[in-house]
Amino acid sequence: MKQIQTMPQTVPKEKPEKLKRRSPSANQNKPKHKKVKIGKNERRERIITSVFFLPSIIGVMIFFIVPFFVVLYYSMVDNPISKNFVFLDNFKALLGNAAFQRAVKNTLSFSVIAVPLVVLLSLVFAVILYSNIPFKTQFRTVLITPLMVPVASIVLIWQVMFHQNGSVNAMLSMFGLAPIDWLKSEYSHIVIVLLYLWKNVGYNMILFMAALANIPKDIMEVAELEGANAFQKFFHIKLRYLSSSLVFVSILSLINSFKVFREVYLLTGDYPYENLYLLQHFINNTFRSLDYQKLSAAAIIMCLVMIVIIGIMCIIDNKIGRDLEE
Amino acid sequence: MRCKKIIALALCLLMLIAPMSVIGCSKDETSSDDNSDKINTSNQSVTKSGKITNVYRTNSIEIPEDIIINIGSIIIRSEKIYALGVKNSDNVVQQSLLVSMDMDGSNLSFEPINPPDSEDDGMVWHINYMCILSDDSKVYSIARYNTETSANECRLIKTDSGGNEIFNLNLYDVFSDSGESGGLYITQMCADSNDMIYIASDNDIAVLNSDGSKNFELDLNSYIEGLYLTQNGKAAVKYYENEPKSSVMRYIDTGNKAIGQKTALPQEFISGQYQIISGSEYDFYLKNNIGIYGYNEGEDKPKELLNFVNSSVNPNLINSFYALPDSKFLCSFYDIENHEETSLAVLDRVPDNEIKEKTIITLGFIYDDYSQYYLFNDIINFNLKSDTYCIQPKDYSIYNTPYDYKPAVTALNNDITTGNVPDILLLYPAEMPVKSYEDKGLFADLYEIMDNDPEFDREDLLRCLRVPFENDGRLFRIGTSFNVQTIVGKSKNLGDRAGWTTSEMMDFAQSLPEDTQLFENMTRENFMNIMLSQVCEFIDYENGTCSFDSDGFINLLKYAKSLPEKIEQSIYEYDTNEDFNAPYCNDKIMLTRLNISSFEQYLIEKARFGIDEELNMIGFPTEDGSNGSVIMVSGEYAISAKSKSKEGAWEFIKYMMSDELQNRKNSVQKFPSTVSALERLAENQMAQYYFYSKSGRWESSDAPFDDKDENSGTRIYLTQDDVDAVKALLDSITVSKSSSSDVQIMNIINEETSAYFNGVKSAEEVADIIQGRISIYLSEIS
Repeated sequence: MKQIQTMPQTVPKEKPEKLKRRSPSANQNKPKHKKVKIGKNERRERIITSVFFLPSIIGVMIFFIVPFFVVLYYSMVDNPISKNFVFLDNFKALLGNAAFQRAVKNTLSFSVIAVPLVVLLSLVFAVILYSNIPFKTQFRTVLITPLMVPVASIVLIWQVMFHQNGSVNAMLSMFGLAPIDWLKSEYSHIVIVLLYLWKNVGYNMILFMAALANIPKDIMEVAELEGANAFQKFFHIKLRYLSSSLVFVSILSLINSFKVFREVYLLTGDYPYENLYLLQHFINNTFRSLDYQKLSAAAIIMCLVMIVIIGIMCIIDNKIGRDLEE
Repeated sequence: MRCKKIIALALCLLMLIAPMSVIGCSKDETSSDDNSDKINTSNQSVTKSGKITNVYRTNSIEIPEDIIINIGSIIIRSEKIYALGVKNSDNVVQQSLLVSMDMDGSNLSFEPINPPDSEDDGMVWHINYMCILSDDSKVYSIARYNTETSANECRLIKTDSGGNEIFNLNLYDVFSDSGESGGLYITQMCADSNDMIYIASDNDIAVLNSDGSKNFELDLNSYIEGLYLTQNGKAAVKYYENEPKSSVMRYIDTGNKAIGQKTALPQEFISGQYQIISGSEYDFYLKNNIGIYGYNEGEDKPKELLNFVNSSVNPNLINSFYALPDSKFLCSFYDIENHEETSLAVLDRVPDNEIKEKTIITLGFIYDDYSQYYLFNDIINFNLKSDTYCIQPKDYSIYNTPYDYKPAVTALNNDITTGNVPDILLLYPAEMPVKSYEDKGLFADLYEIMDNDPEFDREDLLRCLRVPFENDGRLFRIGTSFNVQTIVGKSKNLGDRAGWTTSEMMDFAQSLPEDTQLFENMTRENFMNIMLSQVCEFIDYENGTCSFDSDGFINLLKYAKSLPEKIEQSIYEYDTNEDFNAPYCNDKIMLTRLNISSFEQYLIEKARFGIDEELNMIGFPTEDGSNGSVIMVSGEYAISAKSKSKEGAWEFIKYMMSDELQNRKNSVQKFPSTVSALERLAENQMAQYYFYSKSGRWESSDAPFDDKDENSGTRIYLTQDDVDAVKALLDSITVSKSSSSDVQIMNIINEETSAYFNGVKSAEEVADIIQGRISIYLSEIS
């Protein structure tokens, strides 16, 4: 199998001059870097620019930064009434709380299953719909439609389908299988994952399709000429160009995976079957009982986990994407 | 270039200033003349210096006892108030009256209104509404009916100032869709400044000219909630529109003879809990249980004119009200004990400089049956008696909608976290997380306050209101009345044991003969309701664990499933219409669930089971077999730990515990909360005479029932032994009920058990699911 060459050079590149190593003594004679004086006009420009930035900065401060520190504050006091500083005691108590442990386990397992699935499915659909298949416009419309359906309507449909006497159980009984209480059994995760996939595949697919359209056509042509098969073209070219979109879609899907609480809450209420009890249930319920310290600590932990995950994704993206830029 | 820079800088400044001006707009505008230092909180009129405002004094109007005045149809003319009235008599035919009085309610006079000349056709007539036109002619809406045949007629009659009839119309001819005779009912009538007469039936409005000719009719296809006249004489109607599925208020466009545009009154006041009337100085007047507000078109929101509590007026006793000129109001009041009796008064404003300064104490509550009538009365009476303190109620239920009761608690929680917690909270444990509040130190220790008060000893409070509510040796809440739920049966069947466990109760139930029921109408649902009244057996709140997957609970479910879904025919040998007590006396029904709130009720149960039988109030099953009777408290108060007026708050609570209030008879009879009041109740009830008929009717009287036939029932007396038995029950109580936790747990159990009862799942599966869900709940709150 032929190795695919990287970007062919049509214009010979000048090799960069090797940097000469200087002796330490030479560094002493090295002219000091001169401070570049900012002219009066430039200073004025900077001031005016900063002033234009101010409304955005104020907005971000008021709606994001300050509330974050308020949450941090509440996570370090014993309760919102007496407000005695307890530092990390809330976090310790939270990590030992059975309800929190259950919520974290369910949320993580849902995200671990659903996010890769949605990314993979939407990528597959994007690749399929990007090629010239018949009725691709209609398929695309069908896949995007769930985005437009209101949440309450989706929940209603799901309730009808997965009810004890719903249509799914009716189909199962046609094949002689016993009906399943979908939302109150170990199969409850399947229902929610399906709901999540159904809702989010369309949007992610659109993002991938846009990314596919941005892959340089000349590279694909060269690959074609070099005799690369579809597999090689996809994995060695397309996937590498899609890496940023993959990271972006993964982050978006991860964030959306937390939002599935909305549908679960409408389907099952404040205290669902234990497999459906998510982190947002914990936060929602503790808010109502004025346990701000618990929910704040939970939110901070969730934030730290998200930062780590997104950080890892960005590092991977940096490594993969670097050679593309080169 | 320079010009561009100037424009750019100007735009930047505009972007900075614009948000700040929006923030500035949210400042409240106050509602009285003294605007400079007034804080208008969500529902109070209190100045920054703590002075109350919007105070009105009540000037009662003496009305003869046999006359009833209807102020639903008030007219103001030439500095006089005109209204319709009726003189009660022994005859079926009542005398209609035209009532007139001065603007301050004095010089009351009554002018009889005689029926129009008609045949003596047996019809009785009644004037519903009246309006006076610009030429002083009067228009009456009259209903005529025949008491024997129930025939009904609606007429519109106009008379001149001399009483001569100008026209007499049959309103069935005016309303095109009025249907058969008897189907038309006039709900309101008024006349605008152009002498156009508006008459509203259930769904239609007919607009007539002053000569009685019909101008046009509006079929709104919806129930008409009100007809109003604004200050500028325009008529508006409030009714329900399907789009957008809410009440709306629209003007009547007489030019186009159609329904016109919406009024500018904000929607929250149209579809909220406000009573709306029209009046003389504002386009609309609004009343809720805080005050009366005036609203003019174009304003952002209504302005508070009268604050009920500040004016010592109980808003729940207002039958109707009308806005008079010079900021006065004419009000008709119910009597608190007898709603059939009404009284009339003119309310006029007290100048702010005449209002005495007092320390303001806020009382937060969520509107319910108790607060509806008695709380406002109690607050008003306390404010009148106290020279130092003034209680200001703050109703959090204004945040609720008809379908969602959670916003009230959310609003309260917001106030708590922002430091605006009321000085006193009237607790509503079914909705509020009271235990959470206690654990977070929201409430002051009442024992500490009691110990510092030489006039009140903690032992004055009944033990059952102390022990079940103590939290680490401290008392954070105090109830002013209560009742007890328990299970009662004959001692000879239950033994002398103090209580029982679920399995003991199941064994007892399963040992009964086939023709014997454990409880009356022992259906599955009734049994589960009884058993779930007390679920503490399966819950360990301290450790945050539960045991709903235990054999005890599973057996309970299985037993419940063995019971019928409904009982179709009587299983008794006896005709219970003739002898209501027979199944109990003859051990065909073993137990009853008793909700006891007086000694008399214990006596009723004794009579039911056989007056000579010893009863055992064994209570609901518990884990350790102790007595599982449960106390349910009403009027439960707590004082905020951060209150600056704890002494004043305690004075109010002490007033609620005073003999005067503890001993009052009211329609919601409950046990009082003090030892002395309980003793007095026992004395009073031991002095009463009781008679229990065989058909199950219970009567009590101050005099002996000498006229009663002994074969029809039994004369019964409350003895000291009976009183002691009840007191022993109260002293044995260790469990309180109706917390929000119980409600949540009950909801989960009820939701899941239906799957088992319908045969979809096994008892073990359902028990596992319940165990899982409630475990999560308990872990959250632990």
